Amino acid sequence: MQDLVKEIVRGCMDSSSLDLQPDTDLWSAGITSMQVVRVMIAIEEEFEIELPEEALTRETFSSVQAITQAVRDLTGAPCVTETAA
Amino acid sequence: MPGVRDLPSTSTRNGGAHSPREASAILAENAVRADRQASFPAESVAALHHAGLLNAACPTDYHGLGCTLEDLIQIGIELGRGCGSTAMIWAMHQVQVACLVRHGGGKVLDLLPSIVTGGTLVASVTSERGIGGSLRTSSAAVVPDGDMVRLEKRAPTVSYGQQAGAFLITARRTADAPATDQVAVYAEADQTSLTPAGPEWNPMGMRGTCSPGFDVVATVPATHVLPVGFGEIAEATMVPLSHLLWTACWMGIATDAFRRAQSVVRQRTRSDGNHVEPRLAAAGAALAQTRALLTEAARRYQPIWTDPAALGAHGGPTLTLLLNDLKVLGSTSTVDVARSALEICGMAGYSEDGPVSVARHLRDLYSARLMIGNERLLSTNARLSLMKKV
Repeated sequence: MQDLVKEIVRGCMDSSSLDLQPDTDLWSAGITSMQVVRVMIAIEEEFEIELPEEALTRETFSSVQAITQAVRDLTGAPCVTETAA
Repeated sequence: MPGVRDLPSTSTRNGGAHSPREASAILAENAVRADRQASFPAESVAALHHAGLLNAACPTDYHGLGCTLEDLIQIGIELGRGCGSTAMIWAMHQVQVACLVRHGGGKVLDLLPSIVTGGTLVASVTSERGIGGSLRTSSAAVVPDGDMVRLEKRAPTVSYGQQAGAFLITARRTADAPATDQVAVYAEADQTSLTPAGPEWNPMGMRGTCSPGFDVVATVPATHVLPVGFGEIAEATMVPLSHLLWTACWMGIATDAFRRAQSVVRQRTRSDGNHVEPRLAAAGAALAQTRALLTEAARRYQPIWTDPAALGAHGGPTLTLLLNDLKVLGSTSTVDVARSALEICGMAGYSEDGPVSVARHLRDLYSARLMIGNERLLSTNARLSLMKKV
């Protein structure tokens, strides 16, 4: 799941050169409000979920890891260790 | 160059500390002159300093009043009733001081007590020629020079620039950094040169803020670069506090216009017991609506105001959406209130003179939609609305 989230984030940030790691701070990497919107929509469509308002915080979109955790919290998917692609 | 540090430390009125309402009365006494002459309201700012209100947002540990958010909003409304320009100078200064206190780091914090006790005004230098009004983008860059750093910035507007004793200037972190990788740099007036650039200051309203353009050059110790990235400063402090306090000031201006219209309607009611004025009711409702959103936005921002580290858990798109809504509503509804007041007061309201004039109120309030342009905020909110859960 984390790898899929990572590819979604990479695609939405329009930054193929970014060295995107699961814990890369997306705010420091310059993610914009429009890109956050694109990430949220893509995540909701990909995982067929709706992120509740209380999940739409700066923290949720702070890293691939944090976004993945928010998805897991909603889907009940187990938290498994994934290798970084 | 006259500075606030040179102003008399005692007021001409009571010779003692003033409540916000008393200070507002002093502001009102000087408001017409500042407006007519487009001159800095020095006596009013000195009165604020004397009352301790100049550093209302600064914690008591640094000799400020340590006011709560609600206190600050109430002060903004009260000062706005007296003089829009002075109120906005007060609000902008609160924001800069709050940025320094909350994000300044050791070296800058060491300087705070002298700023506060000396009544130094801190001005912001955020906008830049060629960038437009985008707060989060800079062209100017910090250039290291030994233990010092230097930066040059062409600012289309610096409010009370010539009267400020210090500045908070945004720039790119380095000459190689992207436009959005910004830092904030604290510079005192004697470390900064301001060369007037652009047209003479002669605007429609908010004339006392004295906000012309300058070419700014600052050379400061490297420790004056705030340790936190400007993105975080903007999101945790500068933007939310600006929108809250600006809206409070605009509400104060509109409240005074409402009060003037109310006095006219009361007079008419005395001569005609059946006289009713629905526009006054609509104006009152607009004020109440704006106040309600202001209270709600303050409530949502409160955890971050209490602790900037709460930005992660409480900041983000939904708070941005709310604060942008507040700014857009506050900047337009208050004009609507003043316009209703003008219609109610008629020619006496249209006059620049007299007890029920609302001309200055309207002119001042028309600046509100330009301060971080509403179109920009609405465009951002158009995107963020795609996230809104209703």
